[in-house]
Amino acid sequence: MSAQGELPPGLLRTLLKRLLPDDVRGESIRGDLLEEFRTIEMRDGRASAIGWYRRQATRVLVAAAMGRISRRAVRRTSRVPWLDVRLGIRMLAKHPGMTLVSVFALAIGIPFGLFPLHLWSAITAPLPVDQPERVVMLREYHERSMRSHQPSMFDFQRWNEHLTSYEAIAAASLGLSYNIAREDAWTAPVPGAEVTASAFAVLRTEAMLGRTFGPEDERMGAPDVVVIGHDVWTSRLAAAPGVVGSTIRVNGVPHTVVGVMPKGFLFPARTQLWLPLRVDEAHDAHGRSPTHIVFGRLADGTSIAEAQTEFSVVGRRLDDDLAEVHAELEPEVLPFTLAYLDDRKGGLRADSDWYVVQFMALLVLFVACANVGMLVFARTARRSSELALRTALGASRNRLIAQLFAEAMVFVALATGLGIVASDILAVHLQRSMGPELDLPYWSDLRVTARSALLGIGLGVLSAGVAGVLPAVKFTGRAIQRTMQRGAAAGTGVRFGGGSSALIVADVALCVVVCAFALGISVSVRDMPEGQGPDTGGYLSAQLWLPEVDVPRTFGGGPNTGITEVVRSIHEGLTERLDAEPAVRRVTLANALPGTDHRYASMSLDDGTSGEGRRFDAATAAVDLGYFDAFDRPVLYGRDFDSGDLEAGSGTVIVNTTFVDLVLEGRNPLGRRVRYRFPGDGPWFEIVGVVADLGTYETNIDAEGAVYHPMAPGSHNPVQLALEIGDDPEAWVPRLRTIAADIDPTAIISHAVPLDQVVSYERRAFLWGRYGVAAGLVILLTLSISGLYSLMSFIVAERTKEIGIRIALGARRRTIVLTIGKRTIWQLGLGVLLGLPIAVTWLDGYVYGSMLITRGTALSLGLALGVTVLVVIGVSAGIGPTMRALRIEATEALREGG
Amino acid sequence: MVRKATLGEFEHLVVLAVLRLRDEAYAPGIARTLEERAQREMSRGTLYAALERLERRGLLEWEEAPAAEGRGGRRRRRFWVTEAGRAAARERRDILMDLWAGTEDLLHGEHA
Repeated sequence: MSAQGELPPGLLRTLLKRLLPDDVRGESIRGDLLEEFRTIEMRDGRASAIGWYRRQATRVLVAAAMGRISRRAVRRTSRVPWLDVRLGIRMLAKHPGMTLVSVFALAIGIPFGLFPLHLWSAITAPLPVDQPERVVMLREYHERSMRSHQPSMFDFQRWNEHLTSYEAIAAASLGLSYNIAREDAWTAPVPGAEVTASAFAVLRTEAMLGRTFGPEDERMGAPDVVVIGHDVWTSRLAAAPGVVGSTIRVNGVPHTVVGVMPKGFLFPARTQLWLPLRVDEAHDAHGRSPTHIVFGRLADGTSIAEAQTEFSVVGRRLDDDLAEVHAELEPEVLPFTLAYLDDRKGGLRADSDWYVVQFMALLVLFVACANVGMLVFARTARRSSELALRTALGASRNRLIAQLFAEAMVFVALATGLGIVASDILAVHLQRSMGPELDLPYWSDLRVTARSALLGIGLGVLSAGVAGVLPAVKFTGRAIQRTMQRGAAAGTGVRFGGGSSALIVADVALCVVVCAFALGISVSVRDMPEGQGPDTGGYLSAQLWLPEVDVPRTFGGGPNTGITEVVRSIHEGLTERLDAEPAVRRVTLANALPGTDHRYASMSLDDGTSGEGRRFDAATAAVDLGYFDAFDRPVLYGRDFDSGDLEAGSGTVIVNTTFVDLVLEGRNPLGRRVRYRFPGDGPWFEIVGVVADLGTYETNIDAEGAVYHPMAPGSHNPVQLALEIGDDPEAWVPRLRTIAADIDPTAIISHAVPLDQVVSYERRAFLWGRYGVAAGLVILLTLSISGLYSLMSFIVAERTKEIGIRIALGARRRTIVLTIGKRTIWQLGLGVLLGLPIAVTWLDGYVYGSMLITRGTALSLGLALGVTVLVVIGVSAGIGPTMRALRIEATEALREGG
Repeated sequence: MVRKATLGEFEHLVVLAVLRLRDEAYAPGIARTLEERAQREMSRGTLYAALERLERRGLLEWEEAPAAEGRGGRRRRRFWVTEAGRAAARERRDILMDLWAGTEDLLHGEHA
């Protein structure tokens, strides 16, 4: 061998190859070193050249190891492997079924995995004010009840006086509604709040027109002033430019409008009207007052931790003066949005359920990814010869994994994009159709944010990792060597492991369970408003609330027994006025109207003598005299309530027919007695009549037994009003408000909607639930089908040669089908068997609730569901691969096998 | 505003070597040029790191060139100085010349 042919030390050359960039830069450096090595070798001899090479190669290696010679190209060359992406797109088109399933599963799985975190971000989003992170809530945590203690105005004053960590501290009352009126035209009530003047300073928000409150507005006896919201100004007051200084009536009392807040300012709870919070010291010094929150803006340079420390020390010192009242209270300072929705210690942060929900959501995504991974795996199995060939031509394992990852990224990107867009559309739709009922804080927006979209993309990349890289890693390992050794048609040597089987079995089991859920919900929705309850068309329902009057509530079960004279006179006055209205055909009052949710209570029935007999749960309601007639549901047996039943201690009730069927199993109920079991056994109530069912639950009209008590006027506040108007009951709402306000200006008429629409809203909510379950069912079915399809495709691809030989030897078609379907059949069977008990149990549990299906029917239905799932999945997943196997030509298969 | 690129001591020497070699500025030639001037063996690790640094800063560029004899078929890179690199070299030269001006007699110890 000539000197020209001698090479430098092998180890150094290998290290250079490993550590230098795998491109022209690395190649040229290695070439340069070799070129110089040879020059020196010719000039000074081999030993000298080797010495030089050792020194210089080592220095280059050190520079490379220190990152001074980068492994990445310096030039701004594209890092996106466009070739792989193009190949990925081609693969999508080549396997449309797989593309559809994978994209569908991930387009739902990714938003699903992200939803808990997204919702968390939405409800803990910063307040839309300047430096929202400095706005905190101050409260005291009560150890024993594990809830926050509502601060009084007295607490607020003491804290305001002694705490120094804040720029300003404010208090606000929550959950108030006010009737506002201008020039005698009554409008609907608006949500309002009483706030201290400092509230606007804490929130650093100025009025858009006029001013906010000053300390002078807080004084008792100061002129009545009001600040209104932008929406009230534009929608109720026609955006009148001269509104500031004008007078509107708030609960009948004239107030001067001093300011209009800017659009979007709804603090603290979708509030549209603010009144000064005045401290009535005589009333409130040591006692409770309406629900308040106390909040403040941290002074510059003060952290929440520092404020907490001060509050702990000062709060406790202050509490020492009132040890009796404040024992067991622990002062707490929390970011406003964390504290607002959760009164436990630590606020929302303390809610560990979030983590569980997030974990479960990610688990669902992982299952979806694993299923898609199986599909990719099966597809990769069919490409094993291509991968083996590329390996033989020098493609590294990393290169192949990168290619499969890029291919997975293509459909994952498509799925992520679809998922994000669909979620946004869904969020808009949900907020529009169920906005107020969702009861989200006003600063929350469920629409997809940039952060959520980025997280979605991150989850997408992770999904591509699970669905693309894991199969690729398994395939490009030793299996590819075996493929190369055996030849293309001899199979890959890779096996679907136990994990894949477990996944398929779990998918199928879940399918059966979700089918049962879907069936139950469908039955509920179908039977909702078209049940046997009264026809509520033409009725107007509304809630009448007298916020300034307190009616003592009876703790536990049973109707309220105390009567408040003020409420009684207002109720009686209102019904008299309404009765006199020509448009009103009938009026009645109750604490729950037909078809709406009633209270549930645990009760017991006497045993026919004097002891206690059967225990049961029933819906209960307190109803006005003439309630049943008002809905054309006259008493069927026994008698209706009369004025004698309103006497204290009369103890009479009327039950519905379902009660008779369920609790008394058809026996005569008249004269039997029932009583509430909590708290402690209450007094007995005698059943004096039976009425047809009126509906006690929005989503399930005629299913429950109900117990009705007579309701004395003045015993309940708020109460539900039902007025039979005839056509277009909604048009009568303003008149109702006017009459109510005439009787008492503070009376709040809310939730005024046609009675049949109350049910319709609930139905809508239930339909959403059904869509959710249906979507889950479709995902699970799709995943199960795709999983089994992958498995069978894989078996066909692996056993092509064997199938060919069997066909050549004259095997019957049934044998071929059994060969490829054996494993699939037992997986399906096991899945159905595992899911069946849960499905049947659920359907059985539904028996009592709905009376729609019997116990035997539940079992039959469960079995039918199981068989249906088995057949649907089996046929959908099996038909393609089986047909492919049966089409295998023996000669072709054997020739390919070599 | 674009920040002006400045050259370190060694980078300055590398840029000058690349300029001097004109169309023949391959790494071994650059190394030889510098070694001949410095009269000592120069670290190839330092050289390649400097070339990469200059390239990253847009002062040098390179193109692939076919393999020459004795390289085992491996490609070469031919370097050239960009306009920004030439500007940086000019600036450094001006600074040095400015500093050098009037120091001849001091160097020869007349006022030492």
